[in-house]
Amino acid sequence: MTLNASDKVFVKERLERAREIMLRYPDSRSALLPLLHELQDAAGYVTQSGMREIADLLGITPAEVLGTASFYTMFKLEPIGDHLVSVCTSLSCQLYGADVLYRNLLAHFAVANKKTTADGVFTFEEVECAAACGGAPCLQIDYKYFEFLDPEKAVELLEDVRNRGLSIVHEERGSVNAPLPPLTPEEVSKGPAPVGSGPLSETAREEGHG
Amino acid sequence: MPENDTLSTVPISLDGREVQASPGQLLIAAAEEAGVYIPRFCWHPRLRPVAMCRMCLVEVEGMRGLQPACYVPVKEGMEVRTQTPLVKKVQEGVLEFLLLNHPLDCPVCDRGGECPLQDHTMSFGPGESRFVEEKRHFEKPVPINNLVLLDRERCIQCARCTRFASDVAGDPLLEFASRGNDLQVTVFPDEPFSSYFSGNVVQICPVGALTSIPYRFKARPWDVTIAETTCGGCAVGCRGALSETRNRLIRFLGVDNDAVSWGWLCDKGRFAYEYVGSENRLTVPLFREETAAADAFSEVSWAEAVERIAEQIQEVKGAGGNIAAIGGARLTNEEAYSLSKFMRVVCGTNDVDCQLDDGLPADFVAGARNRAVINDFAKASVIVLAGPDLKEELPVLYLRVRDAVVNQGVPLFVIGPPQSGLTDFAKKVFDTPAAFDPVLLPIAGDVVLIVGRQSAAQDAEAQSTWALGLSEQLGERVKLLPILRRSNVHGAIDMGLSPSLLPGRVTVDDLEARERLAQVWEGEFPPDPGRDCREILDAAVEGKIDILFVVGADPLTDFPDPVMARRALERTSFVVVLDLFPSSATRFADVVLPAAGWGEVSGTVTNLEGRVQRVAAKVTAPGQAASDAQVFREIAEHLEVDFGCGTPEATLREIAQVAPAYQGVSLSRFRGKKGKEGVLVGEGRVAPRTSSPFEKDARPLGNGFRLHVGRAFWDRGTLVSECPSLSGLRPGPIVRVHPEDLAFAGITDGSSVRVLDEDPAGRLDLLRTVVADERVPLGTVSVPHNQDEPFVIRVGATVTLERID
Ligand code: SF4
Ligand code: SF4
Ligand code: FES
Repeated sequence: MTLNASDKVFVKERLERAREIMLRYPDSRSALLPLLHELQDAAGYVTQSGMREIADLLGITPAEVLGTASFYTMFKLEPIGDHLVSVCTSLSCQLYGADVLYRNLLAHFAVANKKTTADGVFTFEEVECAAACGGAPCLQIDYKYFEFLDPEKAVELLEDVRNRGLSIVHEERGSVNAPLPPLTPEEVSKGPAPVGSGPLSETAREEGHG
Repeated sequence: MPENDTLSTVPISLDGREVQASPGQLLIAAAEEAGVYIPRFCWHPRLRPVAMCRMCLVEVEGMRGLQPACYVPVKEGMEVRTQTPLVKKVQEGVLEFLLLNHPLDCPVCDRGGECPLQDHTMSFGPGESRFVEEKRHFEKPVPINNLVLLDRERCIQCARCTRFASDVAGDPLLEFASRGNDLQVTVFPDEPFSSYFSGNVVQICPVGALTSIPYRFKARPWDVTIAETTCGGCAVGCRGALSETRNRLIRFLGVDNDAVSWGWLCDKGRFAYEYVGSENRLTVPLFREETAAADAFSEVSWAEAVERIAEQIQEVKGAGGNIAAIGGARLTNEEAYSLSKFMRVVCGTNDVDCQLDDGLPADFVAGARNRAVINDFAKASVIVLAGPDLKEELPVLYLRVRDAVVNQGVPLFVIGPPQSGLTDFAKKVFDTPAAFDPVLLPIAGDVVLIVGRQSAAQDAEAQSTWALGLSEQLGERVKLLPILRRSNVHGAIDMGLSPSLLPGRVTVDDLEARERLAQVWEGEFPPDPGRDCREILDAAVEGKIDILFVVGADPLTDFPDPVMARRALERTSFVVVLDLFPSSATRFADVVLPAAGWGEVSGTVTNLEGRVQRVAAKVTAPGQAASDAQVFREIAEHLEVDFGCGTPEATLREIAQVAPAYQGVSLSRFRGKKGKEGVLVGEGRVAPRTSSPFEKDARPLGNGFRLHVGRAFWDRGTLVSECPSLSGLRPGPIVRVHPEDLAFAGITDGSSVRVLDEDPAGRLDLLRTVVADERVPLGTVSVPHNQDEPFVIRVGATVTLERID
């Protein structure tokens, strides 16, 4: 990150771009979301001083900017690490033990939910359905998908990212990682597997969450 | 909501009963009018509906699911059911849901005992909750400004406070942040809810989430007695309910009336009751020791004070000397009338003035024809505002103008200093009346013309002749609203506290009025206008005033030339000051009489529309402080004048009898639903003054800046400085200048400057901190009045600005 928290964000080209974005809308206030994105891209997160700048640009109050920014969970109101790790814990992933996976990750990296590791590399968060139910349990690193994980695989994945960098790792093993074999005719005739019979059911049951 | 203009009503069926309702009116309001109360949290009659809390769900035949009564407009033939088992079940469900996270800390909550959530839970709730899990927690309570605390755990997310802040006050500083389980009301960090109207959110919050710091933990609803009264903070005259416990005022809440305030109060009006109980109040009559050094007063009894004043009057009258009175704008109508009568019949003079040369000519104010009332704003085709910054001086009037402009779309022209909060919505802003061109106005429809003194350095005569010139040009279309600032100054003028006027909006030479007065008033007074405040003080400087009554006024602060005022008081042989607090004027007094004030005296007051409303006495005045009316009556009776006016009621009867514009004003007219709106006084018989088209004002010569002296909401006035909760809120000794002017002069924002009158004869010389403010017109230096030591203001003054290094 090149910006300090106190640096003005909307200067020079970025200010021009902001003005240009504002012109796209009949009511410049509608430019609020795109400007928040600009701010987050530039500063790494939605800074307080940046919100004030946006308020000044749009002629609204900082409280109004905050109201909108805080509604969207993908806007970060606090500094985050180099990588954002978003673990889905909604129903489908949960059934495949996402909570165990997540707890294991936090324990391994000695960090709490919504917090950043001491070395500043990862910030962890729990998210609502990441829309990858077919690859449950899944997580995203900087919104890049990794699916069909289990607690051990997830730890190993993050260690790999820490050592070799996200882009290489994602290229090698990103998105659909280990698709399940196609269903056998018997499985098809049996219907959906009962709850708790997924690949993680052992661990999950031990943990009392089966 | 704006009142519904549709006169025709349609039948609807309400719980099987046919009732009449106005089409378009919201179901919840229509039902209430028909006597059916539908429970609600988020709906407030003066706020835009949002249907957020779901407490008001009812069944409407033919509409799928339950409908929020606060959002569905009435249609002819609608069949509405509010009491079915389904509705009751849903009400229980909504309440159980709202209480999931509610801390139920009623025993330590300020709202306990008067809380809509408590009441609704008792009346409509399930009685039990199935929720056994841990509730949501927040830090409690957090301040959102200097006067209001927020407890997010108690909040039920009804959005009343946020809607008030953005839609009514125009200060969108209070917002919802996050969502779902984390949804919370918040201000931006380090950006408090700095609104002049912040107390209103405490009042309308349906739970104890918002509490006011001055009232917190002071009382329970069953410990207090309450009276409805009118705010004495300024000339708007907002209605409110005043609470007392153990003879102390502890709270003032807005009361909804349609004509004036809609239930709102500004923070000054709401919290200023603290001054009434201040320890600094005057409590005993004081007499200056004849021999001792300056400032040595001794306490005397009322009887002795009255006797000695009466003796002085007799002596001065016997020797053909002069008696005069200034002030009186804080009195009730009845007190002002007593002072007016006292000066005429006991002292035989018209030398009275309730304005301190800082308002408008009294005949312009009292003689305005075709007057506007506040409710005309929203119906006008245009509003022309040539007055002071309303938000600073007449705050709730600002809310009403803002509503007309922002919510009802009435175009606004602003003439003069920019209006904080309104300028952005104005169609056009003009620096001076001369720059305004009437061809810009719409060709038809009512023009509401609001006229006040924009600056203490502005020529008030010119301002009023300009306004009359414009009115004449536009004819009947114009509805004029002359506005003055001090609490009951309009009532005081109506009671004849003006050198050229008698009670009831008539001139001193009005034969009919004098005849009628002669039947009631025993005593002679001249048929010619007396001296106004400036002339009185001028004469005093020359030693020509023998007795000067200074009634609830401080000329050393408020008269534009405090140096002259001081000399005048020094040169007057006998100065009687009646006031609530020691002031700079009491230092020059020979007699100081402790007065009873707002909250202690009952009677009536008249607001800037000419609307008479009642004020109530809720506590007894401290020590021996007494109503000014009583003082004047006692002195008169001591001089064997049959003064009458023994009680406020008797005085009001006399006013209605002798004051033409007040004929028919009686206590019975303040009762009932209609009486809630007060009584508008009639037209008087003050001849319209001669008008002239406004001349192009001479632009400042040389490099001078035009001087603008306006009031700031928070100043050193008694209302603020005697209230512990408010006195820290003043902007302080600053001057405001446009940033371009500052850049040109090479002065940096925040540095010290010297403001000097360009005219060598002028005596303005101020050291202040300069603040860059884009709202100040170019070429102007704006100085807020009464922030520290008073200074001399010359009408039409131009000043220079020097940097002090
Ligand atoms: S603080 Fe009060 S008024 Fe504001 S949203 Fe919460 S409950 Fe409603
Ligand atoms: S606007 Fe005036 S009358 Fe109304 S509350 Fe404020 S001070 Fe009182
Ligand atoms: S009062 Fe109707 S939804 Fe709240």
